[in-house]
Amino acid sequence: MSDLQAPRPVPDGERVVRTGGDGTDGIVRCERCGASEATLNVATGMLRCNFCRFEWSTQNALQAFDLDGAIGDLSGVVVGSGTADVTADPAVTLRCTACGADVVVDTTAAVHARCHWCRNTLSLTEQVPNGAVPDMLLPFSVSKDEAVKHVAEFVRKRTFYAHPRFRAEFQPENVMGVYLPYMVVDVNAHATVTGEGEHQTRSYTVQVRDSEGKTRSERRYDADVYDVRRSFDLHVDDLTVESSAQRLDRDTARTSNNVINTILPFDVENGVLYDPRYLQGFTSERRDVDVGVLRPAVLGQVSDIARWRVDETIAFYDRGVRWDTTDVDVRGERWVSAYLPVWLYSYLQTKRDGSTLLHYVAVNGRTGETMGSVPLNVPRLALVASVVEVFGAAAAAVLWVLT
Amino acid sequence: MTGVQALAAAADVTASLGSSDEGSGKVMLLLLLLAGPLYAGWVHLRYRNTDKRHHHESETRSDMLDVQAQDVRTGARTGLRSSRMQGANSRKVRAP
Repeated sequence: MSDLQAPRPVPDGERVVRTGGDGTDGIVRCERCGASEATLNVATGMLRCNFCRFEWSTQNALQAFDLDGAIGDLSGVVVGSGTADVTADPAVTLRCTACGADVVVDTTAAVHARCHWCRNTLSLTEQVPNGAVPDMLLPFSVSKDEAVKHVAEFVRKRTFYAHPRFRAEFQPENVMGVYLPYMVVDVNAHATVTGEGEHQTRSYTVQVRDSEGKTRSERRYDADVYDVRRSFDLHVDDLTVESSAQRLDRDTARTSNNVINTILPFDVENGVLYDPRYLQGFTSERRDVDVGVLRPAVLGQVSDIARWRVDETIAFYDRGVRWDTTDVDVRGERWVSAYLPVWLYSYLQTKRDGSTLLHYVAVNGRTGETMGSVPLNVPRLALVASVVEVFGAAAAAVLWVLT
Repeated sequence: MTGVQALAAAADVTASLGSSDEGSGKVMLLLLLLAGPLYAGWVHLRYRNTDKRHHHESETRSDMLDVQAQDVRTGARTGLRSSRMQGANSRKVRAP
């Protein structure tokens, strides 16, 4: 989704659902022993205290905030408070509640910092408008060992033409768990699609004479032409889009963000209430794109879904349909910001001209779906392609002589 | 012409010529003549995956309700050479 446009006006009736909870920044303690160190147990999907081994989980976020109601009942704009426009500085100063020291967290890549005096872990829990604390979060369920296997297997199948330096430096163990920022959107819309369709009525063979006077058979078709119009209600559930400017850059000459986009979708309906301890041991990327900027692209995707779905109703038009217009009248939309789990292996390729290309192998932290980009050994590929071309041309010459 | 462009061009030409016997022969000849760039394009896509994306149109849950159809016959076309309607775009993601 690289077609970001100017923000559209927000429809009337925006309602904000508070998802921030009552937590305050600083030390988040284990309910049983009071320790400040807890991490996600990927095997169970629960949080585990690193001292007393107590395990617990947080509530389903969409149910807790009543953000999973019937899409047909949606009207106006409903947003989670974690989708607020980004206006504040990404650097946040936390006051350690144990010793009183001030500790700065750069939320661009983390929501934690260790107090340099008393060594307690301080976490960002409050929603301030800097995009660092979302409405919900989906914990990793694919372990690092599994992710390493997925990455290694993906690259193993692509070694022959891989760049020699990449092959020498490839270390799948360096895969990183990252919570990336997304918007999850439900849309209640009415769609109208119009165009022209053709239904075949006859198929027959005719004899045609070419410029050399030879006669040959050719197939011809007759068809009825129809104006086609479909009008319907469309409920789109959990449409997921990236909400970081960096990830929305899909220029494949510069980066391979498209492979991260490819591993969508996630089971976002299982998202839980945000708790900073889920992010312990992982990195995170702050959201820096707002609802108003994403809305045109989201509506574009809703139009795509409308045309895709309407295909089910045009079987009669066996020669095809040419759609001329797609109108989507949005009656209601619901926006929730989320951190979704991705295992990322990254490799920065520096080319001879000094330009760089960032390659990723990405593993969906919930489904294990893997996609990646491997730098090419261009001279080797050119050599083999030349040999293939020589054989292809020889075969073409033989075919030409025989026919 | 890069390998990836050759792949795309070959797919278009194959679609337009492939319906008759003579067309199939021409397609085969073209594919053999472009074997090198086509192979390079295939390897490029397999390694770099620049053509991959999330298929939001088919991978997003959606419900279509209360469908109203209005189809009006406006005429007929005869002697068409292609088995597919010209300009058909119902499976194109970014149609109008």
